[in-house]
Amino acid sequence: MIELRNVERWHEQGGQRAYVLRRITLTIKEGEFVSIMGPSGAGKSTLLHVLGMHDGEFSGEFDFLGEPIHKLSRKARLEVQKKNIGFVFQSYHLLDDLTVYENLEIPLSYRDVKKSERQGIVADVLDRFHIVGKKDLYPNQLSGGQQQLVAVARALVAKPKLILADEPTGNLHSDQGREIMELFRTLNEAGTTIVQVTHSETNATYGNRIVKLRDGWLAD
Amino acid sequence: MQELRHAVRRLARTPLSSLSAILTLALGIGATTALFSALDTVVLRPFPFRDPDRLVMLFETHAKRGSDRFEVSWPNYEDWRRQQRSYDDLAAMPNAVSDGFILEGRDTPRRLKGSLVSGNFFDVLGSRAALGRTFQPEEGRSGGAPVVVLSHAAWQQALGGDPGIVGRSLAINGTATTVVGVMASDFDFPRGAELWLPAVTTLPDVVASRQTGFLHVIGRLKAGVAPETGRAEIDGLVRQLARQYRTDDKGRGAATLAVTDYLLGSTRLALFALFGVVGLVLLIACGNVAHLLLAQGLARRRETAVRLAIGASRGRVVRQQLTESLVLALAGGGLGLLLAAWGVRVLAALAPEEIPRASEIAVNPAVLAFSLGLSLVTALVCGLVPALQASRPDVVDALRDSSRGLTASRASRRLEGGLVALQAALAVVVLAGSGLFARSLLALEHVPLGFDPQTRSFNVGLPDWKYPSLEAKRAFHHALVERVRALPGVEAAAATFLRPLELGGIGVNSWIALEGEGSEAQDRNPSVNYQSVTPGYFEAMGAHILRGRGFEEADGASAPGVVVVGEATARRFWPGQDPIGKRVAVYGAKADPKGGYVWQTVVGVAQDVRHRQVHEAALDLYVPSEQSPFPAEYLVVKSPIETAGLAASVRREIAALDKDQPSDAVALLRFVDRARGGARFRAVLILAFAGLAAALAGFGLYGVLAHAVSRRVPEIGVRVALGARSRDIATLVLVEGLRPVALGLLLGLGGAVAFGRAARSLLFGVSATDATALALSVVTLLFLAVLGGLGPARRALRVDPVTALRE
Ligand SMILES: Nc1ncnc2c1ncn2[C@@H]1O[C@H](COP(=O)(O)OP(=O)(O)O)[C@@H](O)[C@H]1O
Ligand SMILES: [Mg+2]
Repeated sequence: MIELRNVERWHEQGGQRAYVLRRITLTIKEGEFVSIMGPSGAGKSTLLHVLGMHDGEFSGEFDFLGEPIHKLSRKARLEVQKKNIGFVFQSYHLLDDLTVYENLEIPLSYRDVKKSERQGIVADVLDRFHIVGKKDLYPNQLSGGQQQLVAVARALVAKPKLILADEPTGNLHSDQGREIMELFRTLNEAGTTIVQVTHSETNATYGNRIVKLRDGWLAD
Repeated sequence: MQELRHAVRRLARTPLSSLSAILTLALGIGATTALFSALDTVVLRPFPFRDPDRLVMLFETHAKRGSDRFEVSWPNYEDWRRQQRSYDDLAAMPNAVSDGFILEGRDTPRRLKGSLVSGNFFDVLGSRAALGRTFQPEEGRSGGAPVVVLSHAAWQQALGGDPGIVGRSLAINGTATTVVGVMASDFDFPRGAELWLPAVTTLPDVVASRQTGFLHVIGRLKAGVAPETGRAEIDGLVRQLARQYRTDDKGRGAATLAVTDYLLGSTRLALFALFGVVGLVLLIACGNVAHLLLAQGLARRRETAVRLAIGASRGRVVRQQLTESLVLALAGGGLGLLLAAWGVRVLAALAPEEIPRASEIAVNPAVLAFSLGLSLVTALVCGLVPALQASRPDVVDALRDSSRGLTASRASRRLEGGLVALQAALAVVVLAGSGLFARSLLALEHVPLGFDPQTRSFNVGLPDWKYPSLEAKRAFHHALVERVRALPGVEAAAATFLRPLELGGIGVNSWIALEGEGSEAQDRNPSVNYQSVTPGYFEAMGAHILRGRGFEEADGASAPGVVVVGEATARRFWPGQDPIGKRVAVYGAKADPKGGYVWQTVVGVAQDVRHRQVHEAALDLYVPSEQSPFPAEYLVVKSPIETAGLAASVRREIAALDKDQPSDAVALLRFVDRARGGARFRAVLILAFAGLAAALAGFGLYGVLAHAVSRRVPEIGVRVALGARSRDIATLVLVEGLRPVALGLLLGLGGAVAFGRAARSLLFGVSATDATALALSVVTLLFLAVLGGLGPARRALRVDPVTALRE
């Protein structure tokens, strides 16, 4: 599904290139559940954003389902993303002035899902995450854990083929964390490819492969 | 002092936005100050009369004719004066200044505009001469020595400012007349008068008749007498005199008008309306600056929170913020004052003749005080909300990583939305108002005048001392018309008593009776606009005879009486019938000295000519000069030749008949322009203000949206990451911007209708709720909103999720 060849990412700093990702060559097959691990500042989030196609400013080659992402325009890239990828942000990034329900609904409306269908899908997801009671609350009325839960739910709602999650359990207590990992496993078993960034060895055990990053390099 | 230094330093740190704030305020304060100068000089400053509040103009009313401002006859005036007790005294003057005063004895004779006023005229007004004196009681009586009071302008221009003028004798209309005084330069009553002569009580028959109303009566109410009491008393006198001298009953009564309203006419409303509009423009400008301060306040939230946390009082923070807006407003006010100094010159140059004292509009101490006060108020209006907002940050929240929330606080967004809505509303009012005034002007310019404005005219009024009889005058005019017709290039020429549109709504009112009409019906006939003209008048004016014929040489003094009526007259009196051959009795045409009816035959129908007002056709009725008691005063000439050459040759012909007859050449267009002057002035000014309002509102909206987008970058990033397409993002930004605009539009439409209603009497050919004007203002504003939103929307579309979401 994913083929990275010699992907590099840098930032201009004082006229110099500060590399964040170095010669990343990586294959992820459909149906895998990969955990990216590494120390803080290693470039995990950066890699995830490249995979998530938010970031087009990399060099090297990135094929996704056979499509050369590095050759696509921003618009085309975002189109591929929209069709295939759900993203869980490290710091939730819920939309503050939308309710939980509306936060879950918005990816669907961006995908032109009909209103009636949206209702069913969102109701389902609310159910699955046991947050039906919270659907009319605003994000600032939720605890950090609950917000993360909603953020995960939002990543799933459009039924992506690939879920990218940046420390999805970082702010959850262990019960909730486990719940999410179980959910990922279920999804993965049903065919969804999952790539998560995590610091937790336990969480990594839910996946079937670990990719290690250090100072922007793949380590083994 | 320390706050001032801080404020200046802070403003200097963002020079571009500070400068744009100052410029914005300068435009607003400058325009408002300029308009205040006009309002102050023209409307608010007392006229140069003693206790002007006690001065009223008095008119007769004829309820049955639906007329509320009839001039008063000389005998009636004298009876009122003798019998009333509500007024210190009543004075009188003719309804219009006359240019029939010929000053001889200088190099060439010249015409001066003057007014034959009652001897107590200046005493009633309570106005003293600047040089010499005004009239003494015996000078108003017959047999008194002829005296004249000159205007300051006449003294300066016609008499070279001769310092020894008082006591000199001038030859005015062939009479040696002693100058007893010169008025101050600010005395201009009736408007345009260059000299005042005491009217004597021995008047020609037509003037001495109770039927001939031509006076405007000025009353000075006794101290403590209410205007209504004074009016009611005259009302009673009018009824009593009507019973005593007349058999008809036209539902006569009396009406009064404050002398300031008489002088200002629609100018007061017009200037107040424009002042209101420019005030709205200033408010829009304030909105922009308030938003700027608000945005800066938000950006400084953490700094403010730190200050509050280390113990600064809220008052101190507010004061600091207000000092900043004060510095901006004072700088803007200073610059605005410069703009105003230039603006008042533009205003004075644009002002139409109908606006009194326009040439005196200037930046004076009152204006300086006003603009200083206005700057202080502006500082408060711009600064208070941002100051309060800034002084109330949630300290904990602001000190914590403030980027946690994706979007700005609901409260500050609501505040910005409110600002946008308010600005949109104000802009709609100004835009719609400009639409109304512009459409009024357009309508006025498209009114068919009924005559060719290129027609040239010359004054040929003849003085009684030289041409004592009507016959002598008629002979002169007849000969002159013949000579002028023979000039090369002259297509038509004729003589007339009045020129169209010259006197601003004033003309000769006459009543008519239809043959076979009962006296009750007769009493209800509206008065007609009486014109006395020589044969060839319609050709010279370019007015078409629609039916029948115009006047001919055969319609002489001894021939059967004939009249030509206007279309409106024909429709009013003979609806659905052919008026040709109908017979009417017209007061003022072949009048039977014994007051009986003398029937005249309608021989023609002419196209309606806008004689009195551009915006309204009167009921025209024409009588041949030879059959009228009014001598011709003007020559009208139709010719394709350019004016200077024609004017010179016509003057030569006048001089050939009488070398002492001065005559000025004027194209009738001049009076047309003057009649439209008020509407044009209003339209030009309000369009300028509307342009300013639109620019400021568009700019303001751009600012708010740009600010909103820059604050929402992370949120937009999330949305893009969630799959939002370009159009979703564009919609998000534009809808956020347009929602308050839409609310503002609704409010603004209400305001626009209210404005239209308030200014209704200034509108012509367009209703206060004119759909086109309202729709245009809405469309313009929406266009501006979209235009203002495009840049920010484009910026939003370029937001890259990865940079927006750096974690
Ligand atoms: N826009 C940027 N400009 C400069 N440096 C950046 C930028 N974005 C990320 N970095 C740097 O890239 C490195 C990797 O960041 P990140 O991918 O967030 O690490 P991780 O998620 O592994 O903790 C960090 O040192 C960070 O400071
Ligand atoms: Mg990270």
